[in-house]
Amino acid sequence: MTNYVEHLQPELIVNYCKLVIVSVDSPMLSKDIKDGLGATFPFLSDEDKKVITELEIVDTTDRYHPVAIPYTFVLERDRTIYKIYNGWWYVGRPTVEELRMDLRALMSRRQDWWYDKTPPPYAQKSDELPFHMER
Amino acid sequence: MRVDLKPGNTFPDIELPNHDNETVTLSSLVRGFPTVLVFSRGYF
Repeated sequence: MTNYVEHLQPELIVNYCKLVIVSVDSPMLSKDIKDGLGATFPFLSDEDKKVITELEIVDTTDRYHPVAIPYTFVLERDRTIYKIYNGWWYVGRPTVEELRMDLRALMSRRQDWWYDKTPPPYAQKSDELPFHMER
Repeated sequence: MRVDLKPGNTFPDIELPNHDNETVTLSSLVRGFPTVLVFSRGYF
């Protein structure tokens, strides 16, 4: 997580993309971790494991302390799943650079990606969403 | 992992308390922006 805080977080301020963390930690512990890291992105608490159970991503390796299998989902602007990383093996977790490439691919689908009269090469009609840039 | 969680399908609009113990939906956080959703092992 520190790599995301150090290298991805500064870009999130300007890149029109979001980062959201989910864990089974309590909201209070999540806040402690968030503040300890200096993170500005939101941490969600699935303390009763309801969501990770529904999504069938519970790691029961430690049967006394089930946690989420460390999946990372890259979502399009309408929550369509673009890419899934399974980080059960540490090496399966996405690097900052991989996430940057994924986010670039999604942003480049915008009709205004080139911000001039040139027809954007990757634009999709379904991505013709209005500007609503409030953050 | 649930079989419908695959590229091209819509991720469920999950609802959970955030770090301030305020219940939020994923859609309220995404708000039309590409989003990286990380399921973390947490502190444990």
